Amino acid sequence: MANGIGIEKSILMENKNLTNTIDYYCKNEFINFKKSEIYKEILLLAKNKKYHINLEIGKLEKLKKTKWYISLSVLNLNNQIVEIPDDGFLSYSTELVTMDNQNRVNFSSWIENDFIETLKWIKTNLNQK
Amino acid sequence: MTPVMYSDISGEFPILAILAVTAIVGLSLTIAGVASNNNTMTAIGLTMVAVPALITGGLAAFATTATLTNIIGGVTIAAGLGTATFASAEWQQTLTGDNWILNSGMSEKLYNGLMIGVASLATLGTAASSFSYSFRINSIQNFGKYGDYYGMRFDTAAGKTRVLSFHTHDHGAGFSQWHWQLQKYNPYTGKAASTICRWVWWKLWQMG
Repeated sequence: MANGIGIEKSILMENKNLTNTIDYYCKNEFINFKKSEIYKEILLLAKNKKYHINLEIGKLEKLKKTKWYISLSVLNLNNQIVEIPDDGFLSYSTELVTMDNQNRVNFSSWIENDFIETLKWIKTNLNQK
Repeated sequence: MTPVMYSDISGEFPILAILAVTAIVGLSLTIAGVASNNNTMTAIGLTMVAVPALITGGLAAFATTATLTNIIGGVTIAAGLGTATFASAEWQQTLTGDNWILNSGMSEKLYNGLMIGVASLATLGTAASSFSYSFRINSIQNFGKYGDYYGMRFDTAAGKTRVLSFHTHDHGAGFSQWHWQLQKYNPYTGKAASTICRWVWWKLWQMG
């Protein structure tokens, strides 16, 4: 029985179809985000302030779930994330893919209220600073 | 410099905090009633504990899908029902002189101990349910230092990570008071992002 579970788990983890699909989806979301107006505006504002943008897709493994994020951070010349005193860092992410320990996958778009609201906050702060 | 904004997105935290304060006052009356052998005071105190516990526990247990909040709500409802049971006995004693629980053979020492214990749990549960429901806490991730402040990081029912801290510092214009601050959090970079809201600790309602 223990062997059976082990084999099943390894088959699931080596499911190339699944990993390729997730990669493909994340890359497309990444491309779509880079084409968006809000990203272009943030990029321009950051350049004007001599900052640069770190945009990446990353994976975090938690106890029962693996999550793929698209994360945007505004970095200063020392490659440190810019901080607005008593408000927060100019850095935020949103989940693109969530996979549970049964390999059930949930896909989400980068276009969601909380993420866009925070990007607007980043934009506002880049305008002010 | 960002000024303190006394804003609360949902408005639920202050309303529920008032219920928690009501329960604390009720527990104080209950204890005072037992100490002075005043059944009316005890009955009023227990009612003031039971009603908020059932309201906040009900919200926490059934009005959100956040797991930790549901558990806290369930415990609070149970304690609220227990408190209501003792309240019914105390009201009966106030109005008729009889007490159906004591009449069943329970000793007065055990009765008072159980009553204060259950009422204390209901009061604690009311505060915990109010807090947990206000922020839709699904699970607590960590207690630690986030930026300059120590706080609690938690996941919400909507799958978002938030940081809640309690601190004081100068906000300019000579303003410096202890306050709660709720921030968004980027789990990928491990940084607290924009501030959602702040409350000065002793003001339970939105200041505008």
